[in-house]
Amino acid sequence: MTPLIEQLTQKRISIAPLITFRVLFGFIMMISLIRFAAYGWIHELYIAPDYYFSYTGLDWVKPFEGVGMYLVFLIMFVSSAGIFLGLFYHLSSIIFFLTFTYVELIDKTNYLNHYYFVSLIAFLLIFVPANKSWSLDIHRKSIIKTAYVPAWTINIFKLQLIIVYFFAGLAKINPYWLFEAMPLKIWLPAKSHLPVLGPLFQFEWVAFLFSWAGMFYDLTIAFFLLIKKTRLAAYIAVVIFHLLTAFLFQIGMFPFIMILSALIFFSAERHIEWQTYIRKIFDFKDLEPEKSQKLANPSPSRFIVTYLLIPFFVLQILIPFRSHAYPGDLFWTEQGYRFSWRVMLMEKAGFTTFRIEDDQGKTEWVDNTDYLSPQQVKMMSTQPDMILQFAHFLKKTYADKGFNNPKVFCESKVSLNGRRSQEFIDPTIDLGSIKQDFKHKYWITDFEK
Amino acid sequence: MYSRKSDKFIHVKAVHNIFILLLAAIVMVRCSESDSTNPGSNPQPEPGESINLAEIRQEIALHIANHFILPGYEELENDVEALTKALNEFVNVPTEANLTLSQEELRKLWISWQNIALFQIGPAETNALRLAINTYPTDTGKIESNIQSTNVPLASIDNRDAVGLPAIDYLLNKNLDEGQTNLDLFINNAERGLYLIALAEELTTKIGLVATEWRQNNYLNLFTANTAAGTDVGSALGQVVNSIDVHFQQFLRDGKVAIPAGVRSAGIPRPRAVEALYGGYGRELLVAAINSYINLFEGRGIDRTEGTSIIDYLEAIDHSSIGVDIQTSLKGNLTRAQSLNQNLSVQIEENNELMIDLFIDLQKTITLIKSDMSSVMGITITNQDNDGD
Repeated sequence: MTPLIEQLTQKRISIAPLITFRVLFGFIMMISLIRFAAYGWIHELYIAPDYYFSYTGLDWVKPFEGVGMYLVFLIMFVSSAGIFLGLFYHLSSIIFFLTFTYVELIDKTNYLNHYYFVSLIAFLLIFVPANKSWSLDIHRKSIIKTAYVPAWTINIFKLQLIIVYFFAGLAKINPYWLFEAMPLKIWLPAKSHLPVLGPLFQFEWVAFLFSWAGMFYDLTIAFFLLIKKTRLAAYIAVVIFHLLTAFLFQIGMFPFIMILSALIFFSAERHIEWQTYIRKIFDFKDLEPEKSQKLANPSPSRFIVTYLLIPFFVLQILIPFRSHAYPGDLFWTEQGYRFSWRVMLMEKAGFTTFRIEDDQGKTEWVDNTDYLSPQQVKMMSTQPDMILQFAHFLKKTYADKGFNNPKVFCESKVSLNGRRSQEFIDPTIDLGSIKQDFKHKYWITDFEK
Repeated sequence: MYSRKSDKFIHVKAVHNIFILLLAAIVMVRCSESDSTNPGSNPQPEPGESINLAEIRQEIALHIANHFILPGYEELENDVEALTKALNEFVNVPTEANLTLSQEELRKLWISWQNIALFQIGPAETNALRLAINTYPTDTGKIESNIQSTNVPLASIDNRDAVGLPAIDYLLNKNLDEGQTNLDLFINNAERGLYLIALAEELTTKIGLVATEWRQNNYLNLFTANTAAGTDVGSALGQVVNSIDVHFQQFLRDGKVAIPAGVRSAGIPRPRAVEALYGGYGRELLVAAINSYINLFEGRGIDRTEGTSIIDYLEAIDHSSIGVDIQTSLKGNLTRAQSLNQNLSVQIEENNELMIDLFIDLQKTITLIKSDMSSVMGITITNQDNDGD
């Protein structure tokens, strides 16, 4: 093992940053879940729909009936509290990861990069000893309070954030974003009524400024957070950037999750300072740091790092590049678009309808809302994999309804990044006869810039 | 163990490398893209001080509120009052002349309704006004049994297809066997008359409730406030566009055209599902509905006042071609609708092709509104509130 790798993985360092991270992550997850439930989204997204867009190969992932989904969210909430409090921490983190990821896998119309981020962080939390200080677990006899951990337990979170930011930045290096200021040129003027900055938003140069600044920010911020000299300034930039996006766009908890997560980059001394401060305010006596120099050393650590975490990160670095395996404009076809930190990257809207014909001359135009929620209709209308999936569902549904050998034709018009709408799907192709796989979807009409 | 110094050095070096990589990447992209032209961005006129997009959006909201919604409700209130008066006279003195007057008042109200039906916003939405006023086809069996019962809860969801304009249409315009007239049904049948008047009163209550909430309970202020001058969910324009998206598809295209034409039922027409089945003036209502869209886009108020319109906004953001196309498409829809038989059931039975052609033609307008227009305006079409990323 080279010295650098040894240092980044096995060096003994203070547990303090990991503690801050665990507590804040558990906390913000609890808040997010309360918000999610309060908006009625459990029912709206996981109980009300008749049909769910499952991921290819994961169509066995289905929501539970009745109160089942409420129960899942309750368990998820309890486990996030477990992470926050450090109570039954390992069990809690496993359950949180499983329930959260399960819910996200039910329907891809609900896919958000920030949910993907939460799943990844939750997965990493399973393997770190984040309950060895500031936790209720240390009152249980099996857990020993510790002050030090191997460096990898903290560095994996930094690496995760580096990947998120850097790939979000890479994704912005595209001609729409940089040379047309799209989609900000549409989104910012729509916000020109807001106070203070609002009046500026209708100017084209502001959209360009934001686009380029956003790209540089995403590409570099994680590295400025790594360097001690620039760290504080970089963190202030993190706060400003994410608050601005929270103010401008409807992106829920994501900005706050990132603002809190980025604290991991601060030095152990800083974390210890903050924790001492909190301890004094609340007079938490049993949060005294452990004096012993003993290392919390989960014995299988080297094994986990080598066989689990290295593939985990390598995969994450490869996955965003899979889109290059497909021809055509990525934003148009969205082949290999998800799981790549392509965040707020395009303005896309469409109108997609289906016509069913059977071999006895019966014709029916489908009312999508008979089967889908407004959100599902919106997402399906511009994403070919979902269009195909829904077409297959329609084929089956209409066969059951008595259509003889139904053919499913799609008429779809989509506008991308402020251009006029164009034909999206070849209207002469029976989508029911097209296999659902990861091959190039040749039945997507070519995009004309 | 390594000193902090080397730790830092490693970071700095990594950052240095990344920067070089980044720089190279940008230069590469620039080179490969610089000669491709830039068609998406029509040369946008630098909107100087003279154009303020937020102000235009607020002007549109004010115009819609003051010259569409408020006068629209006023018109509905007047028409429903006139209808109630005519019905009372008819029930008290069931003569042919009074029947004809009632039928005329119903028709007037139904046409006025077309002007407001597309604005299912705020109080209209919370009170489910559209469902209470115009759910069809009406359930004649339920109406007849309601007439025989006492204390029928007309406001209940179960009775939506036994109340409102379509129910009054049935009672006043019912097609009868030879030798009978609608008049006969009301003579010596107090219950039938009472139900008719109860229906009118229920309409009066609902319309009054929504109108009052718009006028007095600050919904107007909320709708026209500066804070609602964005395009997000809950903004005035966001609400209008989402409302017309639903109305145009579900009520104009499907309710008035597609469903009766059999588009949603394996091609088997359902001529009895038309609007104003008994009065037989479905085309007039359809034409009125399309006209209300033309007026909305062109900014011509229900009170005939001209004002800032969505078309003006599209011009201001340099997408006037979309506005022009929407106008053209709507006028194409209108021409087709005007060529239909006044009685849409007859049209469907005689030549359903024209109905299906109109359906396909209406789809074009929806594409323009839902895809082209909402996209450049930055309006999200979904009545569901949720996060993006």
